[in-house]
Amino acid sequence: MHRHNVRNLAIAVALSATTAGAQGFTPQNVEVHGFGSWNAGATNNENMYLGSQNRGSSRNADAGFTITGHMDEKLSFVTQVQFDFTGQTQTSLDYVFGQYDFNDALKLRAGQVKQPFGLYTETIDVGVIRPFLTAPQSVYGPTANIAEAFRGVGLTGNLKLFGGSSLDYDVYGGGLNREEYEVTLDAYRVMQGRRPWSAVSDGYGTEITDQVYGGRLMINPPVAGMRLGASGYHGNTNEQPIPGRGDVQTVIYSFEYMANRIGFRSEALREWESDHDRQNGWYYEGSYRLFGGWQIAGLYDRATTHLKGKKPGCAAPCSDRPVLGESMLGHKEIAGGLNYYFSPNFAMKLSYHHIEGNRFAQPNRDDLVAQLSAAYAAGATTSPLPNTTNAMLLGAQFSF
Amino acid sequence: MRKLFTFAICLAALVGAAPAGAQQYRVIVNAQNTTTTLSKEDLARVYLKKMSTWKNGAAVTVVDQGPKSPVRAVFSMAVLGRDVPTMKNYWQQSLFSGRGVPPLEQPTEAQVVAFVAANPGAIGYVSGDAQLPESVKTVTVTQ
Repeated sequence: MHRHNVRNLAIAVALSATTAGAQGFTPQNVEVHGFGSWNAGATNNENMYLGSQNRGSSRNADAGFTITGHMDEKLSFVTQVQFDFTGQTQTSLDYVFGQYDFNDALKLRAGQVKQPFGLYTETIDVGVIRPFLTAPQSVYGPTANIAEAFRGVGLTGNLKLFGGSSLDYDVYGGGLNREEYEVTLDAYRVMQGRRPWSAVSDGYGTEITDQVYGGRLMINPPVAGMRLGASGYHGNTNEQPIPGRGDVQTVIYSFEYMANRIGFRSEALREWESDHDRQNGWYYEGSYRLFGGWQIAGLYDRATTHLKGKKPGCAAPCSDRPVLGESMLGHKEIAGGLNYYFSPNFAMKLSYHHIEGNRFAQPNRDDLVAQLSAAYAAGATTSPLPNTTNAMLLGAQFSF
Repeated sequence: MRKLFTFAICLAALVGAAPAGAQQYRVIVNAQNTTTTLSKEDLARVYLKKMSTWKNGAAVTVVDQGPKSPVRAVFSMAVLGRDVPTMKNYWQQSLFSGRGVPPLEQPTEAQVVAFVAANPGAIGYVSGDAQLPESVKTVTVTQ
């Protein structure tokens, strides 16, 4: 997602105001909702995970507003603006799209639209509705698997099926931006014998993806709170900062059961990129509401990345020590959480995470490069990065 | 993954069955509304906002009772199969994914009745023994 300055907020507000003025909005047909999150965390070594650091960090905070304007029974507009207070305050325009409802089975959306992909993509910023502070990293982490929004046009709707079941569908086409923390690029360089400190980015890369077409099918069987289905998309990506065209396709299978005290979600994802890597991610996430507002939660999360340069026989130059970068391709996590919901709109969350691998748990960029460089120069045959990380997170999340 | 899904479906079937809330609530619509019966499935679709029009094409306006209302707890379990906190979570997902806003809430039963009486397309529910004016009528809910 592009990060813009505060100008975007002004544009969004001006757009809403202009539209409102033209069509005569009244307070009854404009809805403003919001969400926010803050968390602090600490890890047991120099690896950082979800913003937590060895000596603790409490710099992660964000908030956002969603404005929905209903012009009439069929036409509505949605805008979401988000503020990120981690380090320097940044503002982003997450979504701005119009929706026309022909009927319940056919609705048209156009603009910068929330990407219908998996269970969490559309609500990735709204933490209070999930049991952990963040969504599972294997699917929703900085892996370029998802984009918060697509730019284009889509159709969505709900179809009543037999036996009390129904089908939610989405189809769309256009373009999207996928962001990735380029640890796989570092791993790729190390494995091919290139020096990781020659990287030209600060770690984040944007994959601008065009000619995208995709969709999602979710079946709601006649069991209250259950849905299952699949989503996927295909596109042509121009990866930055290393330009290169290639096809990308991603598919995810999803299952959710949310009823009363029990919550369970599981998803399995696979991504293929024609130029180099292939990623797999899957997780099981469960929660149980105890008494009062108390909830316990558990997570098993796993991600693997496969690079073409990993195996002997890769395109030259190949490293004689590819093992140096292998830990940066994998992620295995077991987490437990204890939450207290003051109301469905406000929760405090405490969680413990045991992580193996450096795909998402790693030192900051400078330390990462320095450690890999030193290890390479010293002729090391094992990764210098701590492979196991324990992290404790505490945070609060709300919505209104 | 397939085994997991099968297990989860069986688990959900065992624990997810909603208790019957018959006679503990009555569904009401405006007296001008020609609808006299609704299946429980369609009633659920209405309250999940997946069915937004009446058979004559008029828009449905859904009204809920307040979150601490006992009759809402009964209605939520009997019709939607989920308790009120779970439905709150459902509507937050729906709201922030841009797919729908939750039904309008009225804090008291009298205000639910008054709202339905004032809006021809409205639908609401009240406790089984609620006194109803002539401007609203009860709809029979079938299985």
